Formats: sequence, C-alpha cells, structure tokens
Amino acid sequence: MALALFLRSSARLQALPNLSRCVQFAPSSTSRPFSHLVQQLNKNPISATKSKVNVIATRGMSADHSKLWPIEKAVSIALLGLVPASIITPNPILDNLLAVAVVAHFHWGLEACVIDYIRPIIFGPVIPKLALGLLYLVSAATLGGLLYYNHNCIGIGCTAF
Amino acid sequence: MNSARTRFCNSKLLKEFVRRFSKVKSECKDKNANAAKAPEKKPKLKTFSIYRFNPKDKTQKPTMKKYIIDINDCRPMVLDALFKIKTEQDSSLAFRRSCREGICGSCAMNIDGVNRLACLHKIKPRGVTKIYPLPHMYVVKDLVVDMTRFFDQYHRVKPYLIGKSGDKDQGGSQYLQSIKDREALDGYVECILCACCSTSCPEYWWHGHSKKPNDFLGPAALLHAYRWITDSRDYATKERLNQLKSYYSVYRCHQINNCTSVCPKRLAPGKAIANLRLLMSSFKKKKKPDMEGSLPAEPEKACDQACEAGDKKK
Repeated sequence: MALALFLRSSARLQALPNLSRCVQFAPSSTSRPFSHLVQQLNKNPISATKSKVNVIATRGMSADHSKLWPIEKAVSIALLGLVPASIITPNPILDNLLAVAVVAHFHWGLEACVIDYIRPIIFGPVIPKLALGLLYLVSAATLGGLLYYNHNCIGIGCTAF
Repeated sequence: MNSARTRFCNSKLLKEFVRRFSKVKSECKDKNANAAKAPEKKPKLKTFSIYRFNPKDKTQKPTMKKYIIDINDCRPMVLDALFKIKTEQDSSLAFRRSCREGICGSCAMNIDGVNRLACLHKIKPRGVTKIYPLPHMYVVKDLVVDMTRFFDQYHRVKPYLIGKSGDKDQGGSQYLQSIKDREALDGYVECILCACCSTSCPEYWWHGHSKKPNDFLGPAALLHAYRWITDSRDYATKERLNQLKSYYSVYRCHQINNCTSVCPKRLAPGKAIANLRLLMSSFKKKKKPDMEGSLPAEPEKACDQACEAGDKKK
C-alpha cells in the first residue's frame, strides 16, 4: 500500500513539467457549430445531470501513468506464481510479499472501479473524492491487518491448510 | 357546330356505344387484373421505431415514433428506408448522410442496439427495427448528434505529419517511405471517423466528456494517434507519447474491444491502444524508417533551379 502511494506520488511529481506541456498541447478552441444548442440542452431537466461536468474544475491523476502501468501488470503476473508458491512453501518473506502484492493488485483494480462508477458527472465533485479516500483507507487497513497476521499469527501461507 | 355536337352526345346511338364499350372494357380489365394479380407481391410491411427529439420544443421529451413502410419498393439498406420515410411520411425526420456507400461515415447510428452505418446495414425483413442516435452523445435533433467533442479529441492527437525540427521545406517536398513502411499503416489509415467505436465504448461514455485534458480520448482518436506514431515519416513520436501519458487519455481503456467488434470498416482500434501502451512503457520501440529524406515535389522545377544555380556558379 505504502509502495502504491509512493509510486503514485513519485510518478506525479516527475510528470509535473510534462503536465504543463500537456495543457499547452491542447489547441485553442476552434469553431463549435452546435455548442449553442448544447448549452440550451444543459438547461433542460432531462440532461440536467450532465451540466455538472462544467462545475468540476480539475480531476486528479492527470500525471504520468505510463511508469505505474508496467508495475501493475508485473504485479498481476507475479501473483500467478506468488500465490501457489506461498501456499506450497509457507515462509514469512513470501507471506509478506504476497500481502503487499495482493493488496496493491486489489487496490489498483478497485481504484479503476471507483473512478469508472463513482464519477463527478453523477455524484458531484465531493463524493468521488471521498470514495477514493475510503478506498485508500480500506486498502491501508487490509495491508496492516495482513502484515499483523503474518507477524503475530501463522501467516497467510499456512492458512490454506 | 356546337349544337351538332351536343345532339350527337345525347343521341341514343352514342349511349348504346358507350354502354357496350364499357362492358367490353370492364371484361378486359378483369382479365388484365387477374393476369396482373398473380405475379404481384403482397406489400411487405416493415416497422421502424425511430428516436425523435427536438431540443427547440421544450415541452416534448424524447420519444420513439413508429413508421410502417412497404419494403417491396425500397432499396435494401436501412438508409434507403430512412430516405423513404423522410420523403413519403415525415419530412421533419433529421439524420446525417452523404455518400450512401460507407465511405463518409456520416450516417452512423444505433440500429437494433449496435452502432452501425445505416448505409451498410441491410433491412431485416421481420420484426421492428429500432433506430437511436449514437449513444451518450448530445442530440442536436433526432438522429443527429453533436460531434464537436469527438472531433476536438481527434484534433488533439495532432492528426498530421510532423517532420524533423528545423525542416524548413515542409510541404514543399515529398517525404520518402518504403512500401513496407507504408503497409504497416494498413488497418489504420482506413478509419473514416464515423464515431461508431468511440460511442460504443463504456469508458468513452463515462470519461469521454470529462473536462480536458482529463478525458478518455476514445478508440477513434487513439487509433489515429497510433497511426501517426507508427508512420515512418513522422518524427514527433516522443511528444505524441508524452501527451497521452495521463491516467485518463489511454489507460482508461479496459480492453473489452467493443470498438473492434463494432467497426464498420473492420479495423482494430483495440489493437492500436494495446500497441500505444507498449510504446509508452517502452516495451516496444518504434521501427527505424527504411527510407529517410525527401524528394522535391516538382522534379522539373527543382531540376531547373539546380541548372540555374549551376549556371550562376560558372
């Protein structure tokens, strides 16, 4: 979990100069033939929810994701070996590795779910951020719990039998 | 003269003639009718249920309106049926169309739950065909949707060649490209930007209209991004890839490949996005171009100029 946080924030910091470049890349708005109609539509009760798009100034995570993506995939592949290995030969190192990898893997997957399904367009600007915060909390608690279990109890590997 | 005519018209002789002639005529008609009836087909009635919405009419919510047409005297495609409805039944029906042969991409719409080009999809003889505008787009009227955002995203991937920096002769000369390098672009250059792929993608529904640059660009724009990145004549690979690095632009794609299964031109935007990811994480490198440099666009003119320069030197 801490690893995930570290990776995310480091990637973000590295990409800050890139971010400004990204913004510059966007061309100045060209002619918009139907935009006046869309404005009218947004005032309609039918599509009132869509107008919330304009309220949200920025969304997080616009930073460089291309460094984290290979790590996500590597963890997914590593889990294929890590899960059977830690069950067949239970030892504290594999247990701790498994705990970190599993939690990171779940966290990234659920993060995509939260971002896809709890969108500012539907829930407004506050709830999506709260949901993401809650996810970080749950992931941190899970990691803490698993590590505690590994150190003070029989460990994940032995639990299978 | 006139009176003679009226007298003839009222005469018994004429009345008798008319009576007999009409009898013969009706007999002939019956025979002809029987002969014509046998090969004549029954009218094949087909129902189309079409989405109607006019944003200018504030009281009216979007509705589905049913139209019944005889498909015996209609050409085979859904677009032809739409033409028939528009000319014969309801001239207020609005839809985009241009080439009616699947090359302009104007008539993209949601037919029976799948995004297709109306000009390439045959009318099914039975059942009700439901026609909606492209999903999750702002509707301008009926089947016409606002494509502003879609084309804006397309323009943001810079869909044009960017030569080496300091290349002063841009547009004045032809960039060289080997046949093999050109063939690598097949499957990407055929895109007609009909928006069938992007609007069939749930991720595009959810993140396609977020505030830029934190929006998912959609399969169509990303296909074009990859098309320009792989082009052997393009030198802005790094800048192009840097532009796509955010969490939203490319990585929102979860590879469900709706885009690929729905593409009316049988292209594979899903594959392009996968390749983009590999390029961005540098698991894959852009191939070195077989040919570099350029040829003068007008060889004769260039020849003359060279000759003149030679003369001056002498």
